[in-house]
Amino acid sequence: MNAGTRILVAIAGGFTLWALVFTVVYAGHATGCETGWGLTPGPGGIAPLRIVLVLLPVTGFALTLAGLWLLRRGAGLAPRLATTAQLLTGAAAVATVYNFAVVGILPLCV
Amino acid sequence: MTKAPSGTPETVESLLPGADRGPAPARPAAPGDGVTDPLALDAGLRKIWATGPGWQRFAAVNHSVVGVRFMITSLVFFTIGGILAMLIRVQLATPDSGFLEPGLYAQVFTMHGTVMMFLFAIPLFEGLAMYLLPKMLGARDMVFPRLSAYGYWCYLFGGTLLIVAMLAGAAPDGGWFMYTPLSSKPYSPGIGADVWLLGVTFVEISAISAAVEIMVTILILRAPGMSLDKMPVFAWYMLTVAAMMLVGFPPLILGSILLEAERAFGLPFFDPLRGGDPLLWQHLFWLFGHPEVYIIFLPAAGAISTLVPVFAGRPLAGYRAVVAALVAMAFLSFGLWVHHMYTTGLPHLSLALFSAASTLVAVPTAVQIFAWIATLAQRRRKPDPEARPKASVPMLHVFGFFFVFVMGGLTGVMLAIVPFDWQAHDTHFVVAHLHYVLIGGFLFPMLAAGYHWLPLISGRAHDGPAARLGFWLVFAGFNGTFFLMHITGLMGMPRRVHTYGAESGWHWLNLISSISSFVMAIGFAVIVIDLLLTLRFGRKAEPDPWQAATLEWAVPTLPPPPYNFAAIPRIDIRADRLEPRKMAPVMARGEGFLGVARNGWMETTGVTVARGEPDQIVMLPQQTFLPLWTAMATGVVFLSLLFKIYPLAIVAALVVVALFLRWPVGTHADADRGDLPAGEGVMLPLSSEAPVPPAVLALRVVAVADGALLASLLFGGLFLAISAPGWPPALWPELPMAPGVVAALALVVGWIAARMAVRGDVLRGAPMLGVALAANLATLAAMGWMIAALPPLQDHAAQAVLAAVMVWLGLHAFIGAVLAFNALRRLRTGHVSARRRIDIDLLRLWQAGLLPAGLVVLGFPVALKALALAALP
Amino acid sequence: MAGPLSALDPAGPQARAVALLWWSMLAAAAVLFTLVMGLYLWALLRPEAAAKIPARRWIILGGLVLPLPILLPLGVIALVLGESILRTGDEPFRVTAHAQQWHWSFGYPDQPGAAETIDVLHIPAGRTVEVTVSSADVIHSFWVPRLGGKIDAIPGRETRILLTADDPGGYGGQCGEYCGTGHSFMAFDVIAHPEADLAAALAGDTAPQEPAE
Repeated sequence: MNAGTRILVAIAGGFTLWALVFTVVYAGHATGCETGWGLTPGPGGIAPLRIVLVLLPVTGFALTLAGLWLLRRGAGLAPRLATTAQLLTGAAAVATVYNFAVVGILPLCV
Repeated sequence: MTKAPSGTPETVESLLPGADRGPAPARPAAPGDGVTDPLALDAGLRKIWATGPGWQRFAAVNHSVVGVRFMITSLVFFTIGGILAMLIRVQLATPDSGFLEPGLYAQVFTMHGTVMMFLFAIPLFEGLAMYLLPKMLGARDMVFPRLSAYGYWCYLFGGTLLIVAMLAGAAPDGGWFMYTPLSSKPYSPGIGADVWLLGVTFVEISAISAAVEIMVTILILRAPGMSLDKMPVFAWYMLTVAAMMLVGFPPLILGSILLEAERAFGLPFFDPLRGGDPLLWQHLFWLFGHPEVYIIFLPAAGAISTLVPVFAGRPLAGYRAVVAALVAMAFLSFGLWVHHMYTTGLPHLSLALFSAASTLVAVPTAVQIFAWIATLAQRRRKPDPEARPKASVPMLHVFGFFFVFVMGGLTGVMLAIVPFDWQAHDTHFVVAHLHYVLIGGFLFPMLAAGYHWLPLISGRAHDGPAARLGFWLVFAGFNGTFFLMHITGLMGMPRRVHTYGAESGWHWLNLISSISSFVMAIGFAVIVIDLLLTLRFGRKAEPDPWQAATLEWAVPTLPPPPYNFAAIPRIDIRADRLEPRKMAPVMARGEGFLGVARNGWMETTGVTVARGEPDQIVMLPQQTFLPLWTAMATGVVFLSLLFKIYPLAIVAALVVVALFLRWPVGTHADADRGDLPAGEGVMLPLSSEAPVPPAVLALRVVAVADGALLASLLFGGLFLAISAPGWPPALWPELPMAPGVVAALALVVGWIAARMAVRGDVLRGAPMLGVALAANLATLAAMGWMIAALPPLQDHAAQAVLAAVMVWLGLHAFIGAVLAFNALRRLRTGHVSARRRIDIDLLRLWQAGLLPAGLVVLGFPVALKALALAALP
Repeated sequence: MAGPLSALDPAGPQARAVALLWWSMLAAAAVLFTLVMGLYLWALLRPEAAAKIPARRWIILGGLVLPLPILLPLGVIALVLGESILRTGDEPFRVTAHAQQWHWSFGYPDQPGAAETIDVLHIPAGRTVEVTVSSADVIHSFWVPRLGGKIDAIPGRETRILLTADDPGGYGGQCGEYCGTGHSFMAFDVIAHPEADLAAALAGDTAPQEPAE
């Protein structure tokens, strides 16, 4: 990875994950509701679709935290870029929790 | 000093430090030999860089010239949009008004929104960025000056098309977001909607080319030593904005193409009776439309982040937090678009996702606001003995920005709340909110920026009470107009009604809004007159009048010479902590990089993306009429589409391609030159011989936009399959296998051939390029075959969507063929060698991207069918 | 603030909840606006005092500590309120609203024999009404501001909204989405009757009415 790419990944990586999770959750939710996939409640009375919709942001959150851990010593970036990248990755982790908490709460398709 | 070196034999050795040579009186001397004459250097550089007089003005490519043209043109459109707004306010001033009939009123409000968004706001900040960025970064121009000029002409022609249509009474009239089916053929049979779709797309070409150019310029056209983390914060803002434009504009371009295809050829993408869905338009439009608001706001915020530190006499507080905030904002702004669609009946869970992202965007906004407040609070208490000039007029507009934008932000959070939006949506409350955000978040900052950089742009100092009077009139008039609209809206006045009854209770509110709007208009008139008088009679500005700390003020004269800097400095500290007053004379003497005028070359330094180490001399193209001709040919394409003369459109499109192929001519890539002296003892290759030349980086950037377009198209198709009524079609459009296999093979062959055309130092040019050319033509033919095998495209959106993705692939194969043809031609004319391989590298990159994208396209019909069959009726 | 279409003059639980939300948000916004502008002017006019706060603290306090505790509860309230407006415990009275440039026709599946009415919607007072909204041509939006929010009428789709009028009376309705030159006049009336009188009212309103322009 050259220096430019490294900076791009460090700075944009966290929120790119957020954007990916956003896209997949939104599209997956719509697909589930329109096709009926995963709507029948499984064990514990929880619809499989909801499990998928919750697991996606959980995975995204875990990966974002992993990214934050990789950045803990700056990942070889210039100090100011390293702080910026840490701030952004932390913000992406918070945004993931804040943004996707509703998929565990609201009724699925109405 | 009477004779410039252009046209003389190469004088590269003049840059070699300590080279054994006598001082040659006919050319400006090299740094360090003690006889440098700034005047001779200036004359030499001017002769190379200046735009000629008379007709030559149409050949201008210089970023200062083109940037100012962008800004002035956008102000003309602002005046037109403002007059339209006045018409709206006259009409709404009293109940049951008969001033405008409903059809005309619809044209007026549609054009007001369209003009202000597409012809004023975006071009104004593009112009400002184009003008400022090279100067702030220590470059002599933008990286693709001819693209700047082409973008300008496209903007001018597209905008003129819209205005001429309006004057001819054929303006679009479906509202600036052109909701289908109102904008579809049955409900908008006239030419107005076509004018919008084609005119706006024409202007978008300009926006995309500006985005590519801004991004590549910031990434590699900086002064040596200016690593990314030392860039002035404005560059970070524009880098982010450019990235957002690359991802945000393609959905609208796609939507416009699909809607025009529906209107012109009956392909039913948005027709619910034939498998289309009006909501697809809303998704595509707002996927553009919401980031667009931040695309407009962020450059203005970048200006604020530049001005406030100047006034405070200290660098911006929280540089890292601000950069983080604006990048976060850029991402979040793509997760908000459905908040324009809360009333379309989507599941509450979907709405809640977008509501959460919409409220979250308040956080990075607040971070920036408080960084500015902190900067002000921490300002240097005792100004320099030379007495810092009171930055009152720009700061007055910064106050206007704070007051208006904070209020707009707060109503924005309210509108993000789903239940509240169910009431407020599409009322005058939203009209109030969006004007608070756009005027607060764009117009006041731009006025502040205008006053701040006026001495730079015009060379005139500005002072005068008229500017203050103008500000207060605009500020009072604005709040009088729009504050009350919050209440009007909550009292039930929908937007876009052309009249209302007296019993509604909206009468007085509207009357006060209308009167205030005229106060605001008078304020703008005062500002314009004051500015014109300043430009004509103002006293000459002193250098760096604000004691700013960024590089744009280190130009040798005000206004700057066309070459910006006689030599490019090395920047080893944060580029917002410089001392322009001390740097300017040093640079004017030619001390630094490329401090000579040689060979008539337009040179500037290119650096590595991250560390900013110089790695190439970027050779910029001379003044040329090519951008004008190309934009005119592009205009013919659009006009013939508008008037449905399709054969002419195809001919004109081919002319556009042919003209683009002429562009590389004259970039001095006709021989291997090896590393050349670049001053300061550094030897650098020309960009034609550099490992990552600007053109290759630009193609990577274009690939991002192209990928966004393809992704929008694929998602749009899948959206129809699961969501639109009338799916699956009675007869599923099956595709033949054979052309799919041919295309897949051709994609692989094309990729391998392009890779093998040059490996290391071995150039296997012609045969491999020929194979790549043939492979691309085979893909193109296979796509034609597939489209021909589809049932009539007008019958159902399923085959229309399949045809659209095939057209995408076919078009890209065609471009691949053009690139292969170009590489062959350039090889034959001696412009390609193992060292000068841009033309081949562009093809390689293209094929490497086309292979995965093409395979996705070929697999798409399978996914579409699976989803369509699975969707519940 | 009153008026036939005023969302600030609510006449049913759905509209009242939103009006209450608006007044609370207005109060919070007024406080926040005063605070931010006050801090801005303080920093501008009294930098000696304001400079005692380090830049870092300004940004953390203003950028994170200020907005997050407000956004979080606001988000929760929005969800709860949204759910309460979207759902009802009791059996709603069902009507249909079909939009066409530029008038509304209303149907009454729960009132067998009742004819379609044009631009007048009869509903029972004090009972939740479920309106199923559709469109024949372009996108319109069904909106009775004093009773609740709006829902778009989209060709090819059916959307629904719940409304309640507490008391008998007339309430103004208006198309909310721009739908062509007749948009401004695409208004309708909602008349809430005591439930016992509804059938009679519908029987008396069978004469086809001229659509508004």
